[in-house]
Amino acid sequence: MSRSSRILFRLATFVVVVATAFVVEGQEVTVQLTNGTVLTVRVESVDSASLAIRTAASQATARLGYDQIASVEWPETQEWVHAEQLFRTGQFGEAAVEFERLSQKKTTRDTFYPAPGNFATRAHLRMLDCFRYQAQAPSVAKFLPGLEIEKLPAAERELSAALELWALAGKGRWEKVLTGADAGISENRETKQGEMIELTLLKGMALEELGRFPEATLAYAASYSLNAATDRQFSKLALRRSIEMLASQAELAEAARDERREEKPDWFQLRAQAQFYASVFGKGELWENAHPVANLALSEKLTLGETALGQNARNRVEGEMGEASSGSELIEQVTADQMKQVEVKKAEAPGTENKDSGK
Amino acid sequence: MKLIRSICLGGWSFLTFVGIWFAVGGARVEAQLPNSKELAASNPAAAYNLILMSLGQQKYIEGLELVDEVIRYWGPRAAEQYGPGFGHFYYLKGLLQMGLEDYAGAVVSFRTCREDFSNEIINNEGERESTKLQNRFLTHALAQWGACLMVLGDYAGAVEKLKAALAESAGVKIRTDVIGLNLARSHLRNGDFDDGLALLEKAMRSESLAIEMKRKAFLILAEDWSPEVSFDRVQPYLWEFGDLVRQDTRGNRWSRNPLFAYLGRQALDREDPLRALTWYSFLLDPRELVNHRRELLAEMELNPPTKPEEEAAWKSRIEETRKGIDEAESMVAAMLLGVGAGHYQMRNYAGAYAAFREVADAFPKHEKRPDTLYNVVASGVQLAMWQQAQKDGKQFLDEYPDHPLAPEVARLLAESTFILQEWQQAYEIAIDLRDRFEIGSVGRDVPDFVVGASLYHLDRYEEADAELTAYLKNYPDARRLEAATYYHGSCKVKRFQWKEGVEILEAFMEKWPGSDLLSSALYQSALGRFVLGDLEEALARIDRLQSEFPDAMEIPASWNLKGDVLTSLGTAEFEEIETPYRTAIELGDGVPVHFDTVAYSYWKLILMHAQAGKDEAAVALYDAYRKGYDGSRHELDIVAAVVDSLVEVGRSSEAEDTLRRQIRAYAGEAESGSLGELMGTFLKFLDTHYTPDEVENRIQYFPLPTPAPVPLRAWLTMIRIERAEKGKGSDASRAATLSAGYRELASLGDKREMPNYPLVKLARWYRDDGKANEAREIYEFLLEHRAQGPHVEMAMFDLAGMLSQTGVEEDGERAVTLYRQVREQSDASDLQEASVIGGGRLLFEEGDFEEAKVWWTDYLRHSNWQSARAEANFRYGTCIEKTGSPNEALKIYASVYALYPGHLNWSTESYLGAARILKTEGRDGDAILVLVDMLKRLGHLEHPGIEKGRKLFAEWKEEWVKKS
Repeated sequence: MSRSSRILFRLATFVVVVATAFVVEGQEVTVQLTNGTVLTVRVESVDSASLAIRTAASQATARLGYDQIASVEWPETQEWVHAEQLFRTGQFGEAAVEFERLSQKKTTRDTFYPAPGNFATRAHLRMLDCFRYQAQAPSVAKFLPGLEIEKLPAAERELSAALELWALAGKGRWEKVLTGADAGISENRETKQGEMIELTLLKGMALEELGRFPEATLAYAASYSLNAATDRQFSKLALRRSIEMLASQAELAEAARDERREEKPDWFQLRAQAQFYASVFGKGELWENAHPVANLALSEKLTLGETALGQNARNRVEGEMGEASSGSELIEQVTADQMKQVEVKKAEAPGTENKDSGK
Repeated sequence: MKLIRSICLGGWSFLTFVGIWFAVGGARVEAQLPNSKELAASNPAAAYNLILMSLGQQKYIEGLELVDEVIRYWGPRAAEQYGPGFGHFYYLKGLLQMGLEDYAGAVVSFRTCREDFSNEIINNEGERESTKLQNRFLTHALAQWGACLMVLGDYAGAVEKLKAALAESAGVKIRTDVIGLNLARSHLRNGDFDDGLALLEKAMRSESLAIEMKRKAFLILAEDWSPEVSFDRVQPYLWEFGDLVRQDTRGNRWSRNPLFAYLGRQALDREDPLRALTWYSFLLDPRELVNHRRELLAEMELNPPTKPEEEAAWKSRIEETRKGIDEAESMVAAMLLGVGAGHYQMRNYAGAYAAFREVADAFPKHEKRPDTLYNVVASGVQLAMWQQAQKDGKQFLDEYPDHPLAPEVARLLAESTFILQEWQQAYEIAIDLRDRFEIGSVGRDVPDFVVGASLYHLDRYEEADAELTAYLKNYPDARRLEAATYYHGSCKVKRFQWKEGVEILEAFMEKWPGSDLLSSALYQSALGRFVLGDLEEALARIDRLQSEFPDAMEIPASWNLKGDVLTSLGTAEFEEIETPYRTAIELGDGVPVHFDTVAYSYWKLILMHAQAGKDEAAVALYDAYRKGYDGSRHELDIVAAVVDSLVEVGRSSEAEDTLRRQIRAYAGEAESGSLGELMGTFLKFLDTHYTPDEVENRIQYFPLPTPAPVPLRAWLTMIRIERAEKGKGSDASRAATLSAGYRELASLGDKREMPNYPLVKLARWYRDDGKANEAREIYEFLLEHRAQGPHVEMAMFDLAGMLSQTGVEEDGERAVTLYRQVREQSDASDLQEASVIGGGRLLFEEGDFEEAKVWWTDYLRHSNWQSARAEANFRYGTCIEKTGSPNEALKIYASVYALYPGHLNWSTESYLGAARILKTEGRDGDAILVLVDMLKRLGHLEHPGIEKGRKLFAEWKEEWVKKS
């Protein structure tokens, strides 16, 4: 008996074939066992708890229970390939639809379900990824509980911390999202930059929902600055949310402004972010139905500030007094009415005449 | 270079084919020399293959030596013997030279290939002869020639050659796509931007071109075209074709990072931050490289070599990988610094903060850490994250206390908040910061300035004055000398210290005639001159301001000031005074910063029209004011000015309703003087238009809000009390009414809810009723909690009076201080006079004649103070006498009894004082004569002083008689 046959003989469990088992048309697949062994076998059938397999060297059919299998590399189906292609090209909306459809095909013939690594379960996870990339937190919350983690390939069973946070966000549990994001950011700082970008986005969303707008602006900024906005999904989402938030604030501030007495504030940060978004992500525009104030900011001329220290030969701070630093713009007018000793006396209040001077 | 290599390789594959042909065609070998190279050279076919092999193996020197040998060996016979095909060796030579980066040499070779081995052979008879072996690399040589020229920087030459190569490329198996890209690049570098761009566009839009070539085209666009044009022209290409480079393998994307990083840096250098940030977004996050190399290192460390001889190599690879990690991390830091700088300059300070913060935290040993920390502080300040900015600033100052940037960090923290007009924050930050530096040091300079200037903006003028005075003394070369001087002068103005204020501001104007603050200084100088009574000087300054600074912010206010000056002059006609106020309205109407200025103009116009009986005009102005300016801080003054006019034009119920409405609006205000002013106006209105009983009725039944606020009730009670004080009836019945009124006042509520004036009056009632403690409690409350409020000077004065009676030394000192404060702060002349009297007396009674002299001098300088003139002169004289000038005192005593004989307290004392001085000087006779004069003039009156004089006269006369 060959070595592989002996292994199979030792490992194989003799399970009563369930009447509902289906034949999987003799697929040749790579199976990774939990003990690390990797086999190439032909699958005879898949049932709810095991695979019936045959190796090239043996004519005997053996059964491998799922508890012995880490994962199976099933040949990719056309549906899976198509959905993956949509996903990889960033068409997450369409991909989600495809993955959802696939995740419901819980049949051996279609997706090798319920074997580990089956495409229905993998599609379920991918669908969740699609929702993540579109910041559709309620959808994550809705579909995460149904994910059969144990049926995923072994390498995919450790779910991203962000996924759980998206689910919490979908339920409006923003304090928990914030705590979780902060913890995740600390842990992932050194190693998982991609995840960190997503976590800072979640942090920003939580802070925004909790009304902590300045902190939210900073968290969003981390999401698109720390990676130079090279991530075209989460960074883009973060910048978009930041812009919407600033635009809403600008709108509220404008509504409250007494235009007789207050000059219109300069929302330079909003303008900078809008133009940055348009240049990097938006092909010259913001997104559909962007806040009108944001679109207005996009149309305005960008005003630049001074350069940062250490960049392009700015190696010292002049610190010279300009109009602003001297306060010349800020000097209040001392007008005649503030004087007390004026020619024209106001009518005195009753009793202000001091008859009690001296003793 | 990559393009060149690709065309080299492309040519190589053809060369292989030709080489084989050569081998098949054979050639005559003439073995002449013994060495192996020569041997090889004698067999061209074999030599050709060897050369090709060298080229393929990148053994360029070896290949070059061999090809040179072939060329030498066959010499001039080559063309004749082998025909144009021998030119292939020159083509090979050129490729080998390119491999050795000898582009100039390669050009020669390619030229030779092309020009000396042309396929056009004309025989001696002038006929075209078919060649033995065609030179199949004529076009290739031309293309490579062009590529070499490009590398050598002869872009014009490159364009010519590459164009020619393309033109003759039909039917030739050659990479026209590569030539096209080289041509595009050469065009661009030659300044032919349109031609270059056209070729690149064609490439990127081609449906047949390989994607890798499209990527190359994009990179050429990025590197050679984009920096030369405005970013708005570049952006559409990035939008259309950017995914060409983004959607590629990681390996390829990493290899392009240096280009995008370079373009980002270049854009920052040119202060084009949006472009910079856009280029940075094309990077593959270098952290991926860090992580990848870390994973490699971990794997290597987990798998050490099993054989000792492999150890050295393994260690070397480990070391190399570690260096690779450091290198990749430096790329991360460089990217973050660039991103931070880009966002900073675009004023997206959140983005800047995030990036710089990350560098500071993740790369604590970075060489640019000081700059980075500075930028963190700067970004934080711009975001108004005061606490964080302070923390970051402290981090910098803790880590680099002696760094040249330390003073700048301090300046940044203190001044940035100041520029953002966050006065309280600026003050707190500056106060905290400055303690790190010594007084007078560079680091403390700007923080000290900010402390003073912030206090100014917080309306804490006394403290600001002290700070700015100290600043100007401690920093003779102050960095903010100009601004500090201005603020110092302006502080004086705000404190109504007009003379000092004008002096400082006018010196400022002279020293800094080009200052941005000149218009403000000029305006305040004009204002000060006006208050000091220098009306012509005030007008001159206003005229100068209006002619030299027509766009200054102070211009509308200056027109108001002009109106005020003209009013004070007393000689200007009505229209002449009206015009400036109307001009102020025209200039300031609708401009938010001039809101109150225009309201002031309306006030003055309404007032002058009302006073002139031009009631219709006054009311029209009032209506105009109401449309745009109601709620201004002059509202109460305007209402006071217009009420009578409203009555005159038949809108009396509106007038009364307006007053009542305003009173109800301020009904709960205990601390400001607004309610009191309104009550005064209301009462005056009622007295003018109603009978006393009707007035009484309106006060009694004033429609109070529900619940009725204590301040309003207190004022209404106070009015009833004071009307009772002036009213008719017996003393007893008045006293009973007053007592009932004050008891009602006391019962209204806690003193914290009561306005100042009723509180002062209540305190006086307590005082007069023998309840000194209750009175004092009220006075102390007012001084502690309402020091800036109205009528507080009255409380100060009253308390000073009480303290001066206790006989306790500390109380006496405090009383003097209080009198001084009243003197400086009160605008009521009689209260000022009384306080000087009080302080002067107290000091006199304590025997501090030097100080008392100052006070009495002050009194005497005010010719309009008359209530204690005689006393003041007497006491001044006594101070003079006690401080060592008896002869001067003698004169003063003489003037007192001469001018004020009826003021017996002082005239008698003056007589006695004069007599005493004369007696002391031994002028007994004169002394007696003084007493004689006293008795002659006043002897018929009864007064203790006269009695004293009489006794003294009798005594001295007896002495005199005894002596004589």
